[in-house]
Amino acid sequence: MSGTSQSALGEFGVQSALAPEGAGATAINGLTIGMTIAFGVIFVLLVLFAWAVLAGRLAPRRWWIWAGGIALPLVSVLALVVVSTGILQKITREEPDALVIEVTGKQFWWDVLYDPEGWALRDANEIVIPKGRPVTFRLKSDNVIHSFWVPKLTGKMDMIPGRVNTLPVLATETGRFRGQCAEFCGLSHPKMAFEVVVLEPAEFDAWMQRNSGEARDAARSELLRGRDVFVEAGCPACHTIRGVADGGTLGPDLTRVGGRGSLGAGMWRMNQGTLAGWIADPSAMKPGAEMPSYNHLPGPDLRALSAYLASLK
Amino acid sequence: MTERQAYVVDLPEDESYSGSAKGEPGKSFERIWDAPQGVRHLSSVSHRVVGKRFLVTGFVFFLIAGFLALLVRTQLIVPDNTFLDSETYNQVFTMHGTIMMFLFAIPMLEGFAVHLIPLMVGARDLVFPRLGAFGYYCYLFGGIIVLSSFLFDAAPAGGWFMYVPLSTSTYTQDLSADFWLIGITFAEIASVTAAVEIIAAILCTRAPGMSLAKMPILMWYLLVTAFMIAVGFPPLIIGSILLEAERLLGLPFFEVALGGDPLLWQHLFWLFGHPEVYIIFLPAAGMVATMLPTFVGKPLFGYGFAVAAVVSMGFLSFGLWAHHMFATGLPVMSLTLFSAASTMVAIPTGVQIFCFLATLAEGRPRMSVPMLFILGFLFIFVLGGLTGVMVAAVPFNLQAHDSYFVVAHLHYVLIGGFVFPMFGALYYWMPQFTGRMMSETLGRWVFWLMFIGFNLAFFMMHLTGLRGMPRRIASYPEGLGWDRLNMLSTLGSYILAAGVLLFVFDFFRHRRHGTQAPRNPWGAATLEWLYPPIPPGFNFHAIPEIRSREPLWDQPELMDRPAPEIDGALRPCTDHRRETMGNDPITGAPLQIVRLPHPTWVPLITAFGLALGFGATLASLYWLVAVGFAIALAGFTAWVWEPSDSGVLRDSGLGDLRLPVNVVDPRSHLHFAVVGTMMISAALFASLLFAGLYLWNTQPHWAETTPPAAPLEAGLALGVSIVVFLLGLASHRAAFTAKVTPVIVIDLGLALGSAALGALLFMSIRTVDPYGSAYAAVGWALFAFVAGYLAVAIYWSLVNALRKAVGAVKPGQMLPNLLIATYAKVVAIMGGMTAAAYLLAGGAA
Amino acid sequence: MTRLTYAIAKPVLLWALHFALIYALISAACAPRALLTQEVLVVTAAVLTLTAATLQIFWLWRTSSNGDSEPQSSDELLLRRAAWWTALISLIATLANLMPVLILPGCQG
Repeated sequence: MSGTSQSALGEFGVQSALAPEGAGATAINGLTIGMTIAFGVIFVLLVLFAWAVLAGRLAPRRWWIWAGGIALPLVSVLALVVVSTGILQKITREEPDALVIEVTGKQFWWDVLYDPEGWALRDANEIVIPKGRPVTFRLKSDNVIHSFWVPKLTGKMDMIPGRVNTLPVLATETGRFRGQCAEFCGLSHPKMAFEVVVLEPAEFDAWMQRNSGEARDAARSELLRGRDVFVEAGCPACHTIRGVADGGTLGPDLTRVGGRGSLGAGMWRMNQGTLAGWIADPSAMKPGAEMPSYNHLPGPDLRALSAYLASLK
Repeated sequence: MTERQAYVVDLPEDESYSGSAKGEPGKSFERIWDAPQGVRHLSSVSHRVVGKRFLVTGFVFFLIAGFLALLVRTQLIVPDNTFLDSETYNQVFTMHGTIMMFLFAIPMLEGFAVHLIPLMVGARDLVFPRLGAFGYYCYLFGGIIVLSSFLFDAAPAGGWFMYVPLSTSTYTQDLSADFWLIGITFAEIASVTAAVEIIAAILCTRAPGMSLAKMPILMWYLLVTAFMIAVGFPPLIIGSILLEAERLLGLPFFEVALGGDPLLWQHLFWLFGHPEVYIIFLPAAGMVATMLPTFVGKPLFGYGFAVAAVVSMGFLSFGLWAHHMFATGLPVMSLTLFSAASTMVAIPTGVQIFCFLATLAEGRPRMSVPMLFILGFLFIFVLGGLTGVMVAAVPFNLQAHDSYFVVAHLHYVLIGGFVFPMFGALYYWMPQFTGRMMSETLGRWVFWLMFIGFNLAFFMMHLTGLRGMPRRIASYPEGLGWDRLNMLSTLGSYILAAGVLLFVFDFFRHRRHGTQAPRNPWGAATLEWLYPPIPPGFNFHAIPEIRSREPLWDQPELMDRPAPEIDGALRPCTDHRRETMGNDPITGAPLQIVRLPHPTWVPLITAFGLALGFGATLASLYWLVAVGFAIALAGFTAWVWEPSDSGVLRDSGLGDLRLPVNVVDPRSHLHFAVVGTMMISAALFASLLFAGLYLWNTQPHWAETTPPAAPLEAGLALGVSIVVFLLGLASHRAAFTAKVTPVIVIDLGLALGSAALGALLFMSIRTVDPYGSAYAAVGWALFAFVAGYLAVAIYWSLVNALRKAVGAVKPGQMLPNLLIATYAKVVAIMGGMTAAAYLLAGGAA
Repeated sequence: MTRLTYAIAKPVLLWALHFALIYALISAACAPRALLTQEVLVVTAAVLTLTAATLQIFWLWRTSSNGDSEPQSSDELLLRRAAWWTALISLIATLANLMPVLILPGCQG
């Protein structure tokens, strides 16, 4: 369980393309470093050249135009296109036996469906993948355009209504990597993040086994009360907790909500307190969220409900 | 181009049929050119007045958008900041981008173009002064509409790119998107009219002897820019109209459930949006190429190279639009095509940069303030260009796209490529506007504050972006590695702003205390410095003959005597009219005398009518819409209903040379205007056709299930379009004949043919439900588009016929027939293509 | 001079046409409709490129000092140089348009 409980929120470099932990991001980072060095050298040479010109040390020559205008751009650009096309082919290649994970962008969260043709395990806002095993993200949207971006794993890919885009990923390290919506999608666009948890393959298989069943039973009386509140307050109209209330699809699946590292699509640490705050007034935490405020719940009910949700791991 | 002998009447100058129906015989030459005073100043159409208005208004918008940028930076100074809420922040960054791109950069370059072109090519005014004034008012009113959204608490918040579906009525229910679409489209009228005007002014009103190869280099840059505007703006105009039609009328152009495609909007937007960057950059580079030789004291190195570079850049920059869409899941092969094409722009850019460097090497440059800004431009723009090549590499782009890396890149390109040269240009040409020099000392402070502030603010963003910070986020969590970089960026932006404020201060200071500028204060080579600042309202007493590309350096007769005494064309002002020289577009040989309008309220009234119409659309007051457009129509009618000046010969002031007034010739400035307009129209039409083809190709299911248009009517329409085309040919011939009355038959034929074509197209598309699918809606949009053009053809040919019938047209004055001929031919082709599309498109009924 | 003015615009106009055609071909082959097979795409694109490049090389020759023996004014020499360079840049850019079709085995790389 070690990997899934503690959020990577606010951890330096956890969303950095310069510290890659995936095959795609590593390849791109190599290109980034190569281009930075090459263009850095070109820029410095140009500045030195301009400096010499300003100092009056060079007389203008026709071949400058040939060298600087044709040869230099042509050589660097051709090299670049060839190299980058090679990398592009590599990072967009889909493995036929890859694990398919379907992610649908919502305003402003992520609906996740593991292996839609097989397990069909639904979850939200946190994606667990195995290390070293190819994964293909199938990206969709049924509202506005979003963009799926986990800089440490690979480049971004848009989620466009009416289209299905795919994004191959191969994680090379275990850990928690933050991702974020990269296409402006409305009011709470900045609060549409998520986390990808990379587990060892065996751990991942165990995780899938464990989570494909029904939600964990409520053990204590407060939690039982919380479960009743969940049903009575009408939450199942939008949310699913497998084994308790099925069918709600407007909001995130809550079957393992307490097990997620963060709340509100990668925004706040997951605990009973933040959960209660969220239920009481979602739009204060995330303007434009579709969920109505449940401020009218009596205090004990709210506590019970949030405790129950936090217990769902 | 078939050239016929124009029909010209060689009459003595005191003859009543003089073509000077609107002359002001009581006034001297100087008084005729005086700008009207007081409130009547608003009726001025002089390029000097209009140009200055563009510059001042554009700069005010720059300050507004800059202030918004400071709000953005202040919000981002620390993580989890609550200075602005999400909604306000989204409005602020949307308006920042919108204003900078549409209401600052483009109008500013138009201002420079409008102000400088006549002075630099040797004309007394811009070739279509009323159009210039009209364009300005459209821009002003459009800008006011966009800005006023703040007052109604409906400021656009969907990004300056207005992506669908976020900007459709489902996700943006208030009027904010409408404010954007209507206001910006209205303001764009100024851009496309400016394009027509720049093309015609540069090609048709140069000084005698100024061949294409002797034009100041800035003219090449502006010419290419104008053509780019003419082709580049139409996709956005069409996209905006389609989106507004979807929002207002519910037509499903982008509706996924009915076969629309959000990517269609992105294609149309970036077909405009990418060339736009070059539209902004090229004139600035042209100003650099103009200023540089002055400070070096030697001509531009490689004028021919620069021309080649500019022309090829103008074209190549259209092949890159999809590099803004690398992450949308396009096929890898398309991505690679756009990637390869994108990087190709590096070649002409490199040629240009090395022309500049070679020019610098020709002599020891004087380090005046404009020169500092030029060096700043070279430094920043080259860096931005190199990161531009980086983002053209698709894999890197997939990380950098929509991150702060791109924010850094685009500001390096736009601030480096436009704002720095523009500030240099303002320092350089300020004596033209105020007659005084700005402070060298303060100017250095302005430069260094801006340069250091800019680099501090934006260099950091490369790193912020690669550390994973996306664009357009109102807040960010602490500790991800973005905090300190953002703090530095914000500090940099304050320093940059301090530089701009210091410039504003110096501007007001120098108007009172600046030293008076002497004649040709910088020792420049170009014609705008012929007179001591400020040049008189008519620019030239006599328009000098040009024999060199650097006339002020190579033609001693220009600088060795007081400017008013210089010899040249058009010193006699026989008809007491505003007039300037018209030339052959290529050789610069004298061709005609161009009569120019005197101050008039028509442009203001017409633009006001349109503003009323657009504004009332926003308020859903449809009767007021009708009133507004009626006023505009009346304005246009008054505009075209003026007595013709053409058909007579006049003394040119160049030896014994007598020239026709407003010659009936395909090389006429008016004909160039029609050609330019039809280029814009063709680009608009092509954008619509592209939309149809795109949907046909990407949504085959919907193309198959949409019922076809009626084939019989479409076939007939195709036939009628050929008739209209032939009538266009006939009208062209008729323009060169001496007999007026028989031509009425052709005019009426054109009206009738156009009406029939419109009716048949309607009959054909009538059976298709526009609400049935996006594909069907595009079919209707094609009809509506062509119908609009046909309505103009009908109206125009009826006006032509009526003018002939009431005797307002005399022999030799049938230029309108030449003009409508070109118009009708293009419209006939568009109608024919629409009919063909109806025949070919559509699935099984 | 008129001829030389057109000579500046012609090669790069041809580039534009070529680019549009290659884009259309790729779109036709790679969109859901899949109108063209990979082989047809490659052959058509190659033929188009060959045609365009040949024309551009011809213009390059025409505007070079060997291609035009008529005596010329300084204006004409200048326009000719501009035309030559435009042809050169267009030629390179035209060849670049073909590159993706040649180096990629299929639409999705």
